[in-house]
Amino acid sequence: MSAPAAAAFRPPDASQVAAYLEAFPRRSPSAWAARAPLVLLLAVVAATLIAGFIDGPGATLLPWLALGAMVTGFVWLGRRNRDRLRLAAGVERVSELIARRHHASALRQAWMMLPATVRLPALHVRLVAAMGQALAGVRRYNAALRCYDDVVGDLQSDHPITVQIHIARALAQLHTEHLSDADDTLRRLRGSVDIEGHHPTAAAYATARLLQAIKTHHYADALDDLADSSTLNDDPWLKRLRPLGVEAGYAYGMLTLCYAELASRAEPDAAGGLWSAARRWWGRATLLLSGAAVTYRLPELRRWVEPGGELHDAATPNPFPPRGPTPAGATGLMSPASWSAVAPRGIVGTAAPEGGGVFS
Amino acid sequence: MSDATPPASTSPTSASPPARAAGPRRTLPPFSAARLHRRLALDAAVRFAAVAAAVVASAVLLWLGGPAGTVLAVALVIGVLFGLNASAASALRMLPMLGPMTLVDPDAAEAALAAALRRRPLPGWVRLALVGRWAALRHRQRRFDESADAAQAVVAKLRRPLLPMRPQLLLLIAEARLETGHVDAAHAALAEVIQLPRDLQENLQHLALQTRYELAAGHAAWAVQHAGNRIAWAELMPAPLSATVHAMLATAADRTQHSRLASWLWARVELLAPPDAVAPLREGRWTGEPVVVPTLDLESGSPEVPQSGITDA
Repeated sequence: MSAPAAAAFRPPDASQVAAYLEAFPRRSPSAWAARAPLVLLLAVVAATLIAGFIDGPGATLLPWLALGAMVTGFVWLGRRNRDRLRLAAGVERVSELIARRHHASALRQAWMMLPATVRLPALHVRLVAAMGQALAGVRRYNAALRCYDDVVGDLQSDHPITVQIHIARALAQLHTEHLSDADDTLRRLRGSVDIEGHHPTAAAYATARLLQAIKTHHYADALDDLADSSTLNDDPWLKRLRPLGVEAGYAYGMLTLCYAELASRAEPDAAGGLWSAARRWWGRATLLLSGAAVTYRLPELRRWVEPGGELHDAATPNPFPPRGPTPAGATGLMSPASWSAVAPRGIVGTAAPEGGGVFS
Repeated sequence: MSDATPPASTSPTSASPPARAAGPRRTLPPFSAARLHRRLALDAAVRFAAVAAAVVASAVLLWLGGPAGTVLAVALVIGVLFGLNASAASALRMLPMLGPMTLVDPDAAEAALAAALRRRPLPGWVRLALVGRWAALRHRQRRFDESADAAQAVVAKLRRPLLPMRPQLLLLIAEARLETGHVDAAHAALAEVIQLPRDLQENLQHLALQTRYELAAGHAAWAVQHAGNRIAWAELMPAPLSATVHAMLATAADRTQHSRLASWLWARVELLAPPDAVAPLREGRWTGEPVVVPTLDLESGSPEVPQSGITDA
């Protein structure tokens, strides 16, 4: 399967991703290519030694021919190395596009680059993981899940980036209603993530747990996880989620939803405090992100925050209204400490419906 | 002359004389641009002399020696090529490790750097790459005068394989000059960076330093002029740096009487930064960890996704 250089690119669906990954699986690098410099050197030494035992013009020419072959070989190796560096730079560009919310462009580039990386497993893994992020960014969660499933087996356990990929996978599982799989993924992470720490990975884990509680309608349990919902003590959440930067706005949106759902079911005397907590969290969420960006990722929130909803007037006015397409993200919670893999925070363009082609 | 001379006594309280016999020095001497230039010239002269001697000797062997002379001539050429590149190869192998070491264990990084710089004769670009690391190490250690001098010396002599390092070195110079109060010198470096191709990390670092420069130089209005765009970029930064840039923009908005913008930015700062970090930001103390963390890698600076089992050759 080759990727034609077409301008019109639509995000692939899960079956297309699976077929593509099957067509271009990563392979171990060639053992011969790895040993080429040593082989070249040994060949020259052998030719030089042989020349010492023979007579005639061959004795004079052979060492020089071998030396010429060695120089040619090293030039070829250098070119091959430069090609590899170009590919690595391409993967880096894909990461940057994701960080800058250009998920569709990132996906297109990653898709086209993938065949060239099959003999470079480390780059292949990075590219597939980036494809997963970009697919989640355009809400193709099933397709993203295929990508994450492809890479998780080849990752070192306990490495921060590995943990973040697992968290992104759990989020995709939650969005696709694979709730027991997500529970399994999050349960396994419990030992490897310092969930009490104040770093992006712990914050991303806390957010995944929040989304899990929302998807399973255990709103009170979500709040009890960290803060005491009876006293509406929200400082621990701020402390926990702060390392996500503005991305924490999505998590604040989740807290808004939890409080709003609880308030709508509470007795009138308890509902007031819960509504006021929901308003406070929605104010914080919209201080960091636009309301549209939060509800893009969390559609369940729309009934409370859109016109007619109880929280409609609780949003913080933004002096810089969003320009261009609606920013929104999906797996932006995969926000590592490293710069280049910084979280995606939105998409450019509207979400494509599930199904449909890759190049059209 | 060596960049890494034998050690003095390691303990400041020790009365013992400099321990010349105690082994190679594990720390770097104060940086000197003149010494770097001498080292580069000496390296180039030694390498040229070795190649010239090999060529002359090969010619003589070919002329005098028959088949045995040919074998010896080829062996000589190969020997000189490998001999000259062996020191460079080991220094190059160390180069990618020095970045993470600088962050995790600066003392170990300094010892490794001192060992690498002792090798000779190094190709000029390899020595310059190592001195770039030296600048990054001193920057990390907040020895800003020395880091700026070392980076400046490297930038002045940058050549082809090292050109991707240029924006990072200039950003390092800009931050070091801002830290030491040389605002004009910082501006010169920032103005040069803006003309170079930059990756996302360099763009974000440039934004942070440019905003800081504008506040230091009394140009708060410039910072506010494109606040919307700057905020959009600041949102891509890690939380602590994002908070700092938001605080700088809020200060600029305060100074230019944009009170609504200022209060909105300060509210964001309070969400992005822990409470104990907000007070220093309100007082205009931007300095924490250095903004510029140069990777200075000659290839892609991104972290590899860790794998088990299979790795690239």
